[in-house]
Amino acid sequence: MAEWKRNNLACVTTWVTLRVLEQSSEVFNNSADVKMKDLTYWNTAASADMRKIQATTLAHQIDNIFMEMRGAIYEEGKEKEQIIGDILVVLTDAGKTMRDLAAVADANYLFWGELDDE
Amino acid sequence: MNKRIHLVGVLLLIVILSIETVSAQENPMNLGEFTEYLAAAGIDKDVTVDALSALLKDTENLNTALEFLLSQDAKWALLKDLHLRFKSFKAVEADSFSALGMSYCWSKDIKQTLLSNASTGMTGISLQAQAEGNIAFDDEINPVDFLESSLSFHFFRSHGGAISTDNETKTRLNELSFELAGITDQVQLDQSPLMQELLDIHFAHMTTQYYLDLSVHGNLESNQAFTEKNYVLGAQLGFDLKAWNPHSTLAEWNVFDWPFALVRWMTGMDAKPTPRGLSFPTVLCGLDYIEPDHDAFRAAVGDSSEYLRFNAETAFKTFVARTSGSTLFFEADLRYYRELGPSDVVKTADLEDYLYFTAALVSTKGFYTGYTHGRLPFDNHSDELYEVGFIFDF
Repeated sequence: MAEWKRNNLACVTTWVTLRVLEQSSEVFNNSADVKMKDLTYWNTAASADMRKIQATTLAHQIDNIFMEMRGAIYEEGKEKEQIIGDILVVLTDAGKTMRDLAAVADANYLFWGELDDE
Repeated sequence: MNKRIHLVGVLLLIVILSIETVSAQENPMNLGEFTEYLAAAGIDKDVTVDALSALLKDTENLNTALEFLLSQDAKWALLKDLHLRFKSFKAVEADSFSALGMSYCWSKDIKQTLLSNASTGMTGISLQAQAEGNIAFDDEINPVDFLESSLSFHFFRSHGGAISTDNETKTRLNELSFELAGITDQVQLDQSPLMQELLDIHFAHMTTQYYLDLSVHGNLESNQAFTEKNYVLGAQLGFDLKAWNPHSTLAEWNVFDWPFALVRWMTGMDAKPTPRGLSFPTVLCGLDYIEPDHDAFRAAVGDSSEYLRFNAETAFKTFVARTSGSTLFFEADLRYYRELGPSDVVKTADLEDYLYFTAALVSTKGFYTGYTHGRLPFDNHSDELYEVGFIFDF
């Protein structure tokens, strides 16, 4: 489990990304245990098929922001299909937390600032 | 016989959970050794067994043990996509007793291949398997006796969203993120000029995203005893639209969110009426070919033949108000099922179409008030339900 620290780029970037996508408005210190079911995209009334569509849209956009806007690259040996699948596993589980999502980010991305060639 | 099998299953599960949990400590020992160990320390075996029994009757303890087991990387990796929850089921009758059960949900992308992958768009195909349902260990007490397993092939396309930034902007976004992560006061964070700068940069680099999913599937729907089954073959189209930039024309003209934009403005959440581009309704529609096998309602009216069914669902969720530390959402879901070319007996028995609507106000602090009207397939009558309460997470 990733340590929720403000000097960890995976944690901070995950938190900011969910903030700008209006999924959560909590301050960073209170966000580690925010559950997926409390994010904006999670509709408790919808069917599982519907929630998966909505979670997939968000998973693609999180990857898009990390890669295009924030300049991350994939860790060696990791591929987009598998990474989006890992993000989706978290996003489709009501009980998973922002800390879990940051752990997936930490395991799969090298963020801008963690790169040697910056 | 079924009950005996269920009982054996429960006992086996409990023993496995107990032994695995105890073995995970620094000095591994099985349940018997653990009991002996305590007996040697002067604690009566019966007391230990009673205490363990009480612990294992609590669904929260079982869920904690399950979560621990399924989070271990090596042995249980195959089950990482399986979500299990122990539940306590109770029949509707006031004098009935509760029974232990489980809900399960397993979803796996067996294979996914990207056909194209541009900077803001990608197209791909995938093969997915999914299973979900509720199982009561005593099958006579299961108010949601419905299991569904499916195999589906998907063609999907995601287009739009974040576009590339220059290196200077990437560095600035990192600086802003670290600064904002250090702010511990909610109001200070919301009103911070740094937050405004971060949002301005993001919105300047965000376009509208759409996600399209076209699939064909084979499903098996059943009750938990598999005495009633439906075999289903079908196709489905899903569409999701997100105008991530709130200043975009599409976001400003999200008519579905306008009533809530006015409420947010009146409650002070927004400084001016601001409809959200992420709150467009998501749509699913499809056509299923259904072959009933012992569908009780259809058999009762004398028509157990196969039939075509049109399905549609739309879901909507948006903000209503926000206070410090809590957000109030409105969420709604509308589902419609209609049999195509139904027989006269199906029409007469009112089994040709089903409409189901649910809407709720949900707070991230647990407050919940909801309204549900209608019925789903396998329901023989329409219900109307009002709910008010709190949702607690322990």
